[in-house]
Amino acid sequence: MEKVILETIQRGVHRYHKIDSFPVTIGRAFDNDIILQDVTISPHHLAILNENGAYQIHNLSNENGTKVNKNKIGNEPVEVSLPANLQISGLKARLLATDMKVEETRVQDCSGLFCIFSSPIWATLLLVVTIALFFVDRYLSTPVVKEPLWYLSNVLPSVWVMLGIGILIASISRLSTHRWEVIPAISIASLIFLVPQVFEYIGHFMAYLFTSDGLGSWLKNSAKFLIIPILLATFIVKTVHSKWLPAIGVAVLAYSPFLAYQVLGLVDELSLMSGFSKVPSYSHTLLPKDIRLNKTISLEQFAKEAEKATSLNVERMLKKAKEKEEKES
Amino acid sequence: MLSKISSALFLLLFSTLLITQAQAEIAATSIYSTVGKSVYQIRVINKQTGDKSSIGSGFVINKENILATNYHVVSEYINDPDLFRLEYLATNGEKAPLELIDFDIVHDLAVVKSKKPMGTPLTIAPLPPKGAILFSLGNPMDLGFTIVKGSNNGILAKAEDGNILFSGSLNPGMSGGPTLNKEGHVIGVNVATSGNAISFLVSAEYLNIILDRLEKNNYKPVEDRFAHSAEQIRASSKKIVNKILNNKWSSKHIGNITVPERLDKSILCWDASRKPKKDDLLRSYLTTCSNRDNIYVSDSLNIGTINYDYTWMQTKDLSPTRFYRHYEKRNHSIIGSRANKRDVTNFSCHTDFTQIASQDFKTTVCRRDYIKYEGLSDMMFTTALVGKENKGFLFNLDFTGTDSKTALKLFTRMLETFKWKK
Repeated sequence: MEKVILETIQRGVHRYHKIDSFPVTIGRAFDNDIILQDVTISPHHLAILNENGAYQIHNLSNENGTKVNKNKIGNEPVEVSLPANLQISGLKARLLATDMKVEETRVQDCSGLFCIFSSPIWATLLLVVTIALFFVDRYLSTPVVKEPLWYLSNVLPSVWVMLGIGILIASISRLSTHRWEVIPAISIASLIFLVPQVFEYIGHFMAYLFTSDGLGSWLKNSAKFLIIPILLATFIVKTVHSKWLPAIGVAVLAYSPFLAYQVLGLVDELSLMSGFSKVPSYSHTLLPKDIRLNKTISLEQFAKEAEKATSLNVERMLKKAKEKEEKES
Repeated sequence: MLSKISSALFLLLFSTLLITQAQAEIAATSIYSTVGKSVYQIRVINKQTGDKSSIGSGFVINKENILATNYHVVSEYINDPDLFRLEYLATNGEKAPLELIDFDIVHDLAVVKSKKPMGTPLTIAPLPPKGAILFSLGNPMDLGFTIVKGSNNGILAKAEDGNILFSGSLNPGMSGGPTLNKEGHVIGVNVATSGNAISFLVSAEYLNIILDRLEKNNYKPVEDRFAHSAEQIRASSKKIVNKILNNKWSSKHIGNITVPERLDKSILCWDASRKPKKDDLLRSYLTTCSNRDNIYVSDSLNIGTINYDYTWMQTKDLSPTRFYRHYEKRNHSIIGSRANKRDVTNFSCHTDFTQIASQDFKTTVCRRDYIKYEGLSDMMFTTALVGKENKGFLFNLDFTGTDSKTALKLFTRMLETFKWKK
């Protein structure tokens, strides 16, 4: 007799019942061949039959019934082909052939940069570099003499937040794989703080180089919106061995509270750009190393160019404003 | 003998004082009775509610049906004739509508017309010498017709608008009323007060200019009020800037740079440097200069300001990266104006690197235009020294309600006078 497997999924736990002989009865009563403990399941809920090699599901429950491939069945036996999806009252189950192909083994892959992040040495180094950056940033923006302890008290809250995020990320691996992937979690948490900061420095440099804030703000926004979900998704793929699409979904979901905050900021920024602003928007960046693409020009040439450029823009805006005013009146 | 002489002198002085006082009182009483009937309350009425929105005073001038007042008294009506209307209130309680015929936004004057004769027109006389007794008339705080005695302190030398300083207590509601010499002739129009008997009058010569213009065009009302305002403001701004351009500027040293300081007597400069603290690692010096005039356009908009400031920053102890963090933070210039999106467009800016005083500077010009006032712009200029690792210099200049080309000319001229000294 061909063997089949009944897979039941109860509270996320998969159980496999090997069936050698038919008919096999399933229910909550102890005289069944397979006993399922769920209050919604009838004492004698269903039977699986084998009539001349064809598998049949026979619903015996008058209470919550049985579904085969999402269709509720009556009290007559229904023939099914394998694999078949069953729903025994509220319990999900599958009837599988023993020779059914299983998914390919996911090899624990330590390829590329992630391997570095899983190494305790590199993770520590990343953490130290990020904390050092906190100190440097605070030091650069303080124009007075301060004690090292003052810097420490200023930097500590950011360090705690970073470690907190690290624990949060590690708990994702704990929940799904029952393992604490602390080292890569610390690496990712460090990167979450480090990468946007580095992008901001690059953006700042670019803003001066090109005498325009455009590229800089693009880099800043991409760091805000893309880098953190990408890092989280990489962590999920590499530690939980999930596929990219669900991993990105989980990453975006986990980041969504922060994302909502960032989106709000971006919308404000965009509405300021498209709406009225009392503050003139111009390139403010100044760098100690005067590296730039624009050459120094004479005052006379600058005045000519400035007059031409601003007149054109202002006239366009004026025309638009007057059209709007006419429409309103 | 000596004591007798001194007693006689004292008596003479005392009696002279008494006579002057008595004369002034006689003048005040006669002015009250003769001129009082030519002074009215001018009211801006909300068409929807029928209630008064603002009040001031006005007086009959030149013709029996022509009244003069301040621009700011009737500005609500000028800016929004669909929402408001004008009327006068006489001392006997009579009310009737008025029509606006001309105004001078720069000197805060307006001329209105009534359908019927309003009384004996007052006449304009030149400003009497400093110290002369003056009588100011009006309707303060809606309390009724009042006469205020004070003295002439001459035309303000430091201000551009040429107002007269009047030592008498003007109060809200008296705006637009006449100030008379003791013969009862108009020498000025009440315009503002700073409290403590420091008040200001618009010289009657500016009213004469409007009246001459009106006489020539047969008292024809102004057609496009915004164009009329814009033309006046632009002409005034051009006049001021051209005067500044022709002035000999005083200069000052700030750090390694010599810059122009006071461009005109109407501009005052102040030191606004932060007091250094013991643990400061960088020093900064700030000088701010501004003109004290501005033109009242509406209750939410004043224009005609010229402001500029110089900032010098230097350090011995900070690394270039650390120094530039703070230098850059200071490189954020804004323009102090209450103009909103109904008044002006957004700013359009242009930034590039220019050579000034043989040094490299990052220079920006920003311009925005007034929507209703054609040809008027707010201009903001800023320039920052670059390429020096431990020194920084910022120069900001801004104008509200100006001609963009004239403002740009002044900016470049100022930059051309910068000198670098090692």
